[in-house]
Amino acid sequence: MNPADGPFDRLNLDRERVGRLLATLVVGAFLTAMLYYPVASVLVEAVTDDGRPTLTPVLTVLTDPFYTGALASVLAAPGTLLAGLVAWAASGFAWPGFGLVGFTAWQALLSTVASVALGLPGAYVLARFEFRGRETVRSLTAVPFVLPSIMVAVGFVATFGIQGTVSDAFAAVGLSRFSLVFTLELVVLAHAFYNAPLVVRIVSAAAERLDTRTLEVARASGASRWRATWDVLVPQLVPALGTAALLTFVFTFQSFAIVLALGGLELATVEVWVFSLVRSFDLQEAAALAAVEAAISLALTYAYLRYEAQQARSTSGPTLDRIRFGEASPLARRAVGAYGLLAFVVFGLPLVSMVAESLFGPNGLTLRYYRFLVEQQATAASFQTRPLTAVRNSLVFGAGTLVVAVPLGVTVSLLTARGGRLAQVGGTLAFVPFAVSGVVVGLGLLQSLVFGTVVFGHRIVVTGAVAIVAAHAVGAYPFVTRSVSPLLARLDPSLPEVARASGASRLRALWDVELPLVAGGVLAGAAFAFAISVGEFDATVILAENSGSYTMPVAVERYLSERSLGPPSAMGTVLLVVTAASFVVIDRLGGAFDG
Amino acid sequence: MADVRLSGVEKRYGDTRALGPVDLHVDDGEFFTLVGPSGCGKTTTLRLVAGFEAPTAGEVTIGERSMASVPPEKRDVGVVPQQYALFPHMSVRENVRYPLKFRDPPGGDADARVDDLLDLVGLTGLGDRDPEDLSGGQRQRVALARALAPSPELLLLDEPMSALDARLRERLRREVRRIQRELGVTTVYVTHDQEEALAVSDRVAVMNDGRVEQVGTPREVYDAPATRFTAAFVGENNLFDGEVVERVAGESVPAADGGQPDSLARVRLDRLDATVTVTHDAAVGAQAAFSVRPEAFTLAAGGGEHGNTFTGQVRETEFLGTATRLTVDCGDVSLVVRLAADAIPSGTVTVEFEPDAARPL
Repeated sequence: MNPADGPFDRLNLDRERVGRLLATLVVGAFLTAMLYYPVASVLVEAVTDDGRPTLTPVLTVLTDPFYTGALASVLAAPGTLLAGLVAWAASGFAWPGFGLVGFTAWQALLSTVASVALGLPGAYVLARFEFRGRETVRSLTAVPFVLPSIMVAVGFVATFGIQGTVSDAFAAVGLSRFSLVFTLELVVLAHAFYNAPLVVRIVSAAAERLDTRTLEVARASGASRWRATWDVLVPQLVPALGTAALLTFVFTFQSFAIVLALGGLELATVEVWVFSLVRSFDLQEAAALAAVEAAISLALTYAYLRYEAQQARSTSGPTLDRIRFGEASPLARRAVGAYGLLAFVVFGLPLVSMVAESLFGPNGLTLRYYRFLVEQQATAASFQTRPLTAVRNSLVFGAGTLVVAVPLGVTVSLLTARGGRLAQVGGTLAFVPFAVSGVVVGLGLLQSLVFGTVVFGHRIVVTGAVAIVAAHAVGAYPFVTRSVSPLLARLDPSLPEVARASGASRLRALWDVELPLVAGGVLAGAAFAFAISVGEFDATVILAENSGSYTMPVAVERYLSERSLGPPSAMGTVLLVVTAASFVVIDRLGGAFDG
Repeated sequence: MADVRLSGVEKRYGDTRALGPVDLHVDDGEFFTLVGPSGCGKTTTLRLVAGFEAPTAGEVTIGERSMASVPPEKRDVGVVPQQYALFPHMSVRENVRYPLKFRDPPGGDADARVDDLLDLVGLTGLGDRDPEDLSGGQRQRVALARALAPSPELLLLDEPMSALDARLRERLRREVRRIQRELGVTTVYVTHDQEEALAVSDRVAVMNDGRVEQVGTPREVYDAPATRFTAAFVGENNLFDGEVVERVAGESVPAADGGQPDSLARVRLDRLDATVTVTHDAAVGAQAAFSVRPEAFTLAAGGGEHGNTFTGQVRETEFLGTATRLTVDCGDVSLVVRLAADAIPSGTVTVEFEPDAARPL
């Protein structure tokens, strides 16, 4: 080798590796600033006091009966466990109460049961029957991913509140009005609205992957149809059901906006309580409680990831035949019809009711609630929430989120799609936004960026608006990555290689070949990111506190507390339109190269 | 055009050695094939030449120029990968034209060059199609045209036929060979199909377990396999572990390499006694392995000169069209024998082979 070729040429060959390293560093820096450092600062707050490490804040939370109920005394003095159990048995196993954390888990469990109960029949219908609109229904099960939670809450108030559709119907037939708002039932039902479609999606997908040859072998071995189903098909579906249930539990354990709007402080979950502590500037207790919550959520998420990783991958082979709905037995058709009605009440009615509330005033059809949205309200005092400002902020933050989250998500995909150790680490870290609640991210950004951080002697302070974009971007980029990565992973690795052998540099090959081929995924990811930004509530409500940076969901929540459904419904409807449009884009483009 | 040289080339992934050390030389204008079972390192070798991977040790040179730290886009190679890797978002024409964005076509006119290439590979008039509307064979031709577009000094083909059915494969390999001859481009071809390798190549490198077992013309590799692996992998063979029992006095044959004459010896092949040619220095008691092609056997006319006759029971008969393949059990040893198609013996059969049909390994 010519010695003059030396290190520079060696560097030349490794340029791709250098590029990947740089990209990794940039991504890492962004995520550190926007996510890991802020979240860590919250968790550190929980275990330090004036810079000294201490477990006191966390222990205070854990041993406070308000938070952990019957467990508090056990945690404070583990030796009393046995005596406690004996006393419990003596009391006839009375419901002991496990405080705020226990209640949070309890409502999550109820929500999981409700979601599974509501979702399983749907999964069965999708997997078993062939009917017109089946694909549409299946697409719609992805809608909850993009629907803003606070908007759903408005829909549920519009349906089950004292002025709601159901109450109106009761009144119309002479029954007394009633309200389910601020009841656990409504919170659970709203959670089912979100998560039953998830159950449908995961379980029906697994059912459609079933290899029916296993069923045939079982039948040929002598099992009856039911016995074969029980022995062979059900065990193959249990993992999918477990996955769906675990995810539902994780999501509803962290639920915030729905509980805040439909349950209030009476039915507060950990997340709502953290928020109320932040609002009353009790930051250390908020941090300690958030740390406890994050620990539980991370453990649950880890369990979920481990469990999911064990699941068998899709099989190839003949799959379950679907019967035409028209040819099903009358009993089955009636059962499905009844389920369809129930599904409409839970999934359709809240949205319909909300849109109706936004269009009908006391004197019939009106657009005044929409006019309210665009009025400047020059007379409003500055602390009031101006609708047009909220709309404008939402759009600006949405655009900002696109600018940050799309390049970030695509870069993470490029770095991780081809597998390897980096991909594993990246994949796990990408799940952190799922595991850490929005309130914790918001609190972290508030403490670290808005209040300022000293880096190398410079004090770095950003405005609430920038922090909000950061919060939205960290919540949104995993969806970009998840939209792009599967397409990228499916690309023939020879494609960029051929481009390079043709004379293209690595970046040129990326631009000419890989990016055009995953463009559908990038656009779908962008739509996802926009929808998530526009609908994000948990972090935004913390960061927008006492500032003019409030967004539509924050405004909806503030209007909702004013007891008039017109304005929040109108704004909720705008949110619905924006997120539904995003969903259409995702649905059309997300599977562009699926075939 | 250019020659290719690999000197002491090794590729390791962590502690596992995927390849090497390998030394190879591909002559200018030669059609050179790397053949071996999957995992033998043939594709890795090709990727090292293309520059998709860097060798852990050793050096690749193309046309006397060291390729150390030369990225693929600076190598002037054309590549046809396994599944063609046609750019799905580009038409046939755009695919073939793509390399001409970076390299000047011979003649300077890119559009004319693309037309010429489509003519060359027999796709005249299909330039505006999408790749997905083409058949497998047509896709393969587009990939070939794209690789050849800038008139590279080196053409690299990685199992280009593996996705095609057998009949089409044979036709296309003849066509690839014709085009290669016409252009005279140095070509490295990777395949796991030894028959394909023998059919198309000027020279063949048989690879196994990351190493080159033998390099030679198809004839040499077939007729004179140098190793047990080559003997078993290229064509069908009867392999024997032998021991020299007795030198046959007075008879010798000129050595292939012009050295001391080889001589005949009685050798025990597994449990069969036979007279075969051994090197002059093979002492009594020396171990030696031999291979005998199935087609080297003939039905014994009775009392062969050297007594290489074996009698056994026909266990299996396969009619192959041009020949009949027999499995003959001679005691504990099974012989695979290939006879003319019209000879279909059954029951007890006696076969024989000439002493020089047994190739020492």
